[in-house]
Amino acid sequence: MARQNGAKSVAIVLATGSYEREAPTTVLRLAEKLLERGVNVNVWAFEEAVTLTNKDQIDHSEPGALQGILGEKHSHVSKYIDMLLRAGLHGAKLDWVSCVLCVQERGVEKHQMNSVTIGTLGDLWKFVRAADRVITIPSYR
Amino acid sequence: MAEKTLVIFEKPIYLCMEPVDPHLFATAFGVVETPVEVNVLLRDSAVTYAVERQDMKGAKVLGVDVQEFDTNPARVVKFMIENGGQVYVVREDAEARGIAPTDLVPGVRLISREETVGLIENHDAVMVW
Repeated sequence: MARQNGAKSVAIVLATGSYEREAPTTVLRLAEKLLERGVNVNVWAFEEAVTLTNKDQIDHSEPGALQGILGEKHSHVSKYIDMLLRAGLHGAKLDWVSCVLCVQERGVEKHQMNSVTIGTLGDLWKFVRAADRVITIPSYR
Repeated sequence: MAEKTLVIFEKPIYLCMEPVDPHLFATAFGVVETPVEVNVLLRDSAVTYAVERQDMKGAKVLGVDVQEFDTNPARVVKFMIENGGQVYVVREDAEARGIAPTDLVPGVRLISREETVGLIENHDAVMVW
């Protein structure tokens, strides 16, 4: 239920996948600042966003011809999510939930990071109802 | 056979956890590592890819750089030009965003929106990202 002053709980509904848009990066940076301010954050990952928490992502090398402008390799998004989840252990809490239907469709149910919960659409609406603020980012962002 | 390909960018992608927009570096790979002649047209909001002095180093999560390597789209544009790729920017789209010719990477060619039609006609294939 919405509060008049100062959010204590923010639900973020994210549908954008890995490596294709800026939105996941923005969500991570926003979550960091919310946690710093003592705000609990619930991220509900939907559609392609469930690939963000695939634990089998690895740093990969860039093509040799392009390493001069891109670097030798780059890290993966799940590293940053893991860092934020661990940051949430000692203050405001971050929960990251991947939609069960979406992970099953994509065959990544068994590949989710250990600290990620697989949830239902019911969980989405519980997050929304409990939140002081709700931020929704559609898949084309 | 598509010996000469025009790659068109319309919407830029920044800070997607790749060093740059993956479509952009795939295009650069085509320029430098394949026998296909690859040229680039930046239109709509993607004209920003040719703007010099872009800087992504401020983006961090818990103090860790989102981009570990200091790169940006303009570096890739410059690299493509240095390796024989032609990079065109739609003048009207740049002007609409307050981007002056002096803001652009040297070697980028400004063309009018009308001239893009001829550019498309002069290529065997067109890829739009």
